[in-house]
Amino acid sequence: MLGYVIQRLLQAALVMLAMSALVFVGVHAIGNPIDVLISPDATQDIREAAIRRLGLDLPLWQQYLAFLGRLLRGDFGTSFVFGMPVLQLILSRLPATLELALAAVLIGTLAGVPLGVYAGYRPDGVLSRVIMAVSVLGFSVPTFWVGLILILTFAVNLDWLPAGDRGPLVEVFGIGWSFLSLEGLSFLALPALNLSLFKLAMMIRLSRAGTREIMLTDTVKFARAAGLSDATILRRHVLRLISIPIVTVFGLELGSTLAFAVVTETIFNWPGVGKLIIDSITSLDRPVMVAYLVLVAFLFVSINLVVDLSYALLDPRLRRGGAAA
Amino acid sequence: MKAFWREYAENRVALLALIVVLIIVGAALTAPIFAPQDPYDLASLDLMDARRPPGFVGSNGYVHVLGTDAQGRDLLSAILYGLRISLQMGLAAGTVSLAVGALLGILAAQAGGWVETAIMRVVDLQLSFPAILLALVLVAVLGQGKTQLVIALVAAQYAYFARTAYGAASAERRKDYVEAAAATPLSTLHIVFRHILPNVLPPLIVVATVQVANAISLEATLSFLGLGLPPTEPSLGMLIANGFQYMMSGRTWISVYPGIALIVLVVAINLVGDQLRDQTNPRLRR
Amino acid sequence: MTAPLLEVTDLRTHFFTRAGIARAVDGVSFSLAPGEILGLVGESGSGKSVTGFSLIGLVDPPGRIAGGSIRFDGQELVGLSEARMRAIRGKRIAMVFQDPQATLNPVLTIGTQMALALQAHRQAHGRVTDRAAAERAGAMLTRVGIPEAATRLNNYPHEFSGGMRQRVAIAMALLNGPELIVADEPTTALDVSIQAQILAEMKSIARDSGTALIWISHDLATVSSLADRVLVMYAGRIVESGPVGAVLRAPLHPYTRGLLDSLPAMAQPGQRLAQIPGSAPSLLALPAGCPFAPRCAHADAACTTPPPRIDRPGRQALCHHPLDAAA
Repeated sequence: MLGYVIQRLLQAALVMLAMSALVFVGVHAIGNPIDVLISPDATQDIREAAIRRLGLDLPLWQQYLAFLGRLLRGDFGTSFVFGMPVLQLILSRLPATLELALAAVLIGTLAGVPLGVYAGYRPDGVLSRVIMAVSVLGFSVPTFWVGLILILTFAVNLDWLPAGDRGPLVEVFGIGWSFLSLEGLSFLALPALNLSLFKLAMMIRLSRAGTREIMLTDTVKFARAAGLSDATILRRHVLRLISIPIVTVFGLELGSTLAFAVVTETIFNWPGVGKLIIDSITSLDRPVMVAYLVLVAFLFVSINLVVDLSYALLDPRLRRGGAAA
Repeated sequence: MKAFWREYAENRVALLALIVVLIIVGAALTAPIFAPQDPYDLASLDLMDARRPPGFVGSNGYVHVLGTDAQGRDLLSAILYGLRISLQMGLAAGTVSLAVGALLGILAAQAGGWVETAIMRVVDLQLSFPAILLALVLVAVLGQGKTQLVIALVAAQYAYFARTAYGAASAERRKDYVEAAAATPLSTLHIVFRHILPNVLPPLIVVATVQVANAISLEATLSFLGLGLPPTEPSLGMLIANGFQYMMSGRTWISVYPGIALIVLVVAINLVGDQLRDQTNPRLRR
Repeated sequence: MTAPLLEVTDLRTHFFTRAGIARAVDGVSFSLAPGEILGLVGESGSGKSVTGFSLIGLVDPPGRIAGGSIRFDGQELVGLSEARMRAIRGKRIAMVFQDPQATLNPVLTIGTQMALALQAHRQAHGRVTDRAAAERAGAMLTRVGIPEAATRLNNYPHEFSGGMRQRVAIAMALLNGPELIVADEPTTALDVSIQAQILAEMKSIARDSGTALIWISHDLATVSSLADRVLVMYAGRIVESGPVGAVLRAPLHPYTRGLLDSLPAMAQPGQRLAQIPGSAPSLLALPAGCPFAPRCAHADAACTTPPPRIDRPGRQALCHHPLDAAA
């Protein structure tokens, strides 16, 4: 087990190294790194100073090492647009995205699992067909279009919910959160709903497939033979059995939702990391782009690592080895 | 083949979806003939006609069935031409991804060893990485344009094909007749083309159907974010984005009609793909 | 003679598939006295398991009971509402399945699963507290021969051996004190030595508690050591029935003879095991007459018509040429 952990850690580090090299080459290949890393508005003196400070006059391999060193220290340079350290900038936007992503995954799971279990329990029912239609729509209709319709319906026509910005924030440990006040929640509602639709569709499919499979097993037949009601079987047996893949996907999805938030944040003008990256792409704020890339790569490598390790942990052979003692 | 078609036609929803796809493709192909207006001909546009509701009779005499957009374009014509662009992008990205993915997948399955490990590690990593982010970054780096967009879409999608091709190819490779063929002095290429490829292709085509739909909606999303094609040749996503700013003031049709065209197309392709997948999935066969 | 606990008359359970109607159980009749042990024997596909599942109303779609009657303690079970059937299942008629690996839920502890089985019948014996459930479950585990039952309740199924798992399943079946247990090949998946142990325990438990038992098996040898009476099923019908000793000593139906001859215990050392030629017929396309005729050494022109019922004292068979007549 320990050998496996070390092997996977090394692999993850290797992937990160490759990613950083790619980003470095990217930055140097697109154009002059001086343009990439230093604001075009800077005076000649500042430029010269920056070139020396960043070591842009050194050979390429030394520059790469220096780049790596800065990455390890969390030094991603300064945003041209905001004039503040990039890491600080991204971290200041992170709570908004985290809040949104978590709300979306929660909505998707809490609504999707029961709906999917029902659809798997009665695959031919009318309600199940409706649920599956919703899931097909959720999968295939682009997020931005759903967001548009949500705004049109609930913000413009019905005027029930605000669409745009985070609303009033409640500070906890110096970080502002929307979900802690009722009004803030109303601002969170539409974007979270928008972002959750894809997760909802996925959770429905996942739990439907799992339920259908499990309902045909002897475990369920045996429970029925013991006189358990179908409601009890679904709640106690099936839910417990499908929870392992669902928890795994929940974790994986939390990561990809952070990334998917790009679209939702843009439509709803939600001041999170996703909005920041779109803005930095359109305003050519390259240090922010570079930092975002590296951080996202890091996020995904870490998630992959955690998932791989937890699979190894959940592997029945390994589990049995530990439990039989 | 006939039996396959009969089973397909049994699912009425899938049949309807197929008809819808064919109609849309037909409409997009014949757009230059039937569209009331050439939306790319800036000279024919009149700003006086801009943002008019559906049914408005324009200054040049014809009825704008679906209204006009911010430049005074006939929306119906714009949608028909937008469908052309969206389909073009989707099909181009789909076929190139299929080719690249099949090549990598079969190569990994055939070569084995470190080649296999390296390719599949990258593919798996990419599969866990959201396609939209990858496409976003690539478009930002490569710039805007059709070729760049297709490259970005392919980079975001080839991994699905590679996974599928790898799975099918390595399953096929382990079968006795392929192993027997490998023991004879036949060239590897021969084995790949005669034995592996025919078995890998059907699942790939199923993946391709869904991926074309995904490419179309991905392209629309990128265009909506302002990172897709240049605004001179608006795709559906661009049309929707252009109308977005007028939505709050009640001029909803500029976004809504292109949006409906987009989702009808994407949902219909997905339904066709779902049916093909169910029909080719041996686990669901009774 | 006491009133029968179970009386099955002309039971027909059919599977309505795309390819046609499969008559898995086609006109089965038998009865069972309280506390009696009945062996139900046949090849796979003979309809013996479907008969068992019909009794507790758990036939998987597209199958359903197409006709006939199942009277349990005077109550008709065919057509009973799902809610009332559920009150009987697990409480008055319990079932043990073939593969304990597949029947126990791998992610719930044994204690939880047993508590669920108890709580399913709280209408019958009032609310069950967790402690009471654990005590009763522990007592049952001890009874089926599981040591340290109280601590074992917290274990998951994969922490038990195959034989122990089946004991757990049997304990679950006994939990609500049923009058009838239907056991569907419960020892087939186990080692031979453990099979014998479980058979012996099962027999003594049934005798001690006065529980009637229907033991479904493809193995005539297992049934012979356990049952009072045996039913032999072929192609959805009972082709022979009678007291175990009599049937084994002098079978009436050529199929029963064939089953006996293929038992290792009946063969001389060094001799090849006899086999019944051919294989079980497709239920979708049964021959017009006797379904066993194509495989039967005694078959002649008469066998293309439905076989008559042969009655001997305490025994019955469906055959044109019963073996005692030929002799």
